[in-house]
Amino acid sequence: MCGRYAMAVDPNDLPQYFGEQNLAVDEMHDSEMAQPRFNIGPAQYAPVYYSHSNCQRRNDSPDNKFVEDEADGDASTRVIRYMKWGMIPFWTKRISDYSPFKTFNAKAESIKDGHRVWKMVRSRTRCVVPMLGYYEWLNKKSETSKAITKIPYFIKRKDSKLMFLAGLWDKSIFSDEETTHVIYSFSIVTGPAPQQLEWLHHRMPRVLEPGTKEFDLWLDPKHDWDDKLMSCLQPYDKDDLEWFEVSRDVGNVRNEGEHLIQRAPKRPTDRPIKKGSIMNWVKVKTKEHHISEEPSEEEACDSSILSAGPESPSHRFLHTPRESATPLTPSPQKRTISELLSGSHDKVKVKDEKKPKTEV
Amino acid sequence: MLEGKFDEASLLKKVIDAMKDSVKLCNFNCTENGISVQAIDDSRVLLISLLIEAGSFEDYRCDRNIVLGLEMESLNKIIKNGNASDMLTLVAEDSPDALNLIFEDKRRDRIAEYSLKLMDIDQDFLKIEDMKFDAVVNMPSAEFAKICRDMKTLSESLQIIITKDSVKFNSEGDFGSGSVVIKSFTDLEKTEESVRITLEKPINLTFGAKYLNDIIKSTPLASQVTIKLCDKQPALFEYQLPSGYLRFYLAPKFEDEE
Repeated sequence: MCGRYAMAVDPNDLPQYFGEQNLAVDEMHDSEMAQPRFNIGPAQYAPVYYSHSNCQRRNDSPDNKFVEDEADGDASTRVIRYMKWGMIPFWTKRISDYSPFKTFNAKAESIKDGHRVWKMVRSRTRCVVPMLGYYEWLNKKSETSKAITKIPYFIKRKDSKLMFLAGLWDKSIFSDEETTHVIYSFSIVTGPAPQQLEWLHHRMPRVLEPGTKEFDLWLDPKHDWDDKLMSCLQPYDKDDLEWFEVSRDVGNVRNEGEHLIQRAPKRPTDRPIKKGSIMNWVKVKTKEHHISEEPSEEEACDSSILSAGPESPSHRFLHTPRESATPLTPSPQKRTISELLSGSHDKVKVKDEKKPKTEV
Repeated sequence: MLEGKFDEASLLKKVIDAMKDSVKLCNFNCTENGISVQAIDDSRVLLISLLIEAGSFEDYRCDRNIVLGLEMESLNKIIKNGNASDMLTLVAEDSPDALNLIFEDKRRDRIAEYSLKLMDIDQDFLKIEDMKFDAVVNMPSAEFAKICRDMKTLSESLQIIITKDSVKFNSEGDFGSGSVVIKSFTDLEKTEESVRITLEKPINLTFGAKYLNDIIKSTPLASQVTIKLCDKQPALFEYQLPSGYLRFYLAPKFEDEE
């Protein structure tokens, strides 16, 4: 599933962001429809990127003002258009018939089967949805009761460039006696999660990597629907994504701010220290140190080495051989009380977030 | 490979019993010298340091260092299934995903074997500053336990005042107050009944009664408890094992705390 994401890039900066990934932007439309946000939910407006072949444009575009400039009939135009999230099929008669919460995701399986909502758009209006990353909630069962805690995670590219999710879009026209509304809307394609992210949720949006033939094929407006396009929607199993727990504030779509995409402080050492806490007398060492350097006899049995049990530690049952057996190279990072007290979090080495990957 | 055989399961039973209410998840660090644990309670006021040296085992070997991430409640459930007098062997492979516990009845041919899944616990390692203490009190652990229990009936805070040759435990609550004073005392016949006070500077510190009542769950481990104190520093409560110790570092309360 993908029901919330972050795209806090100003429209004016978008061409530059796209340029970094060698993606041309020929036109931009409706950028006034949305504010850059870290917390975009269905029914909100956000940028969508697609290609327009010129012949198609003439038939399809509501404004033909660019047509004259485009002498070359084979060239396609790359467009960023701000659209409403939750695709409204073009045949929807009344806008009141539509709920963005039904169509904000398009199941790859339904697209393949030619579900009536997706059958037309899968052939002619495919797009990619740029974002900084998306949010997914882990349902964590309580060990003592039936309660389920939802823990938000943010999934992004390791290199922090824009991430592109496969999407479909449509244009619907609602007219009454006086006015005509044109609404562009889009949906994000999802499918079964790849093995590396199954622990988080069994579904995952389809990620397309700029520069790959899948990316170009998906955006090729002249390519009619066939099985080749389906192959663009394989689970994304490359290792260039990262994920981490974030603030639960993201749960409310009205909350906004960069802190939503920052790692949630979860270790006891990351929390502010009160005056009466034992942490005032403790120096922090990272776990890697202990594992990598095979503690000396003195250290292993030295009462002065003390480790903290976190309040809400991240943990899991071990099913695979422990990675700790492999020596880790980084040198130990030490943190003093003064650093802890100053609340600087950036010196804490956060453990590899991929650890819980094989939770079954 | 870790293989540690206790002559009696009771030692580990008592240790786990003493810790399980304060900490839920612990990494047990196994080295050739023994097993050690350092953990902090959820409120980060109490720090537990356990060391079971190889000498506490009848047989002990650990070829390479292993970290066993254990959920204390689950471990306690399994440990309670064994009899206190059973021989208990802990077994773990070099890269384990489970800890095996084998209970052998010494009188009958009965072997009970359990396997406990390990957890990957994300914990930092902390080093506590070397501390200098101004006062050291050795006293019977049962006496200390009774005082902590009694004083908790009055207040959530327990004040410890040490002067030349006496220790005063003082508790002031809403409906009344109480205090217990003990003095240095040497019992040559029963040395475990003795009280010894070593003092460099007078002490006046206040601690959370709740934490002290967690600490005294260690009472069955040792007949004596050693309390080390210093002004404006955590107190150290130590229970000796046959070879090793269970230590609690408890941060004092400050007057301006809420």
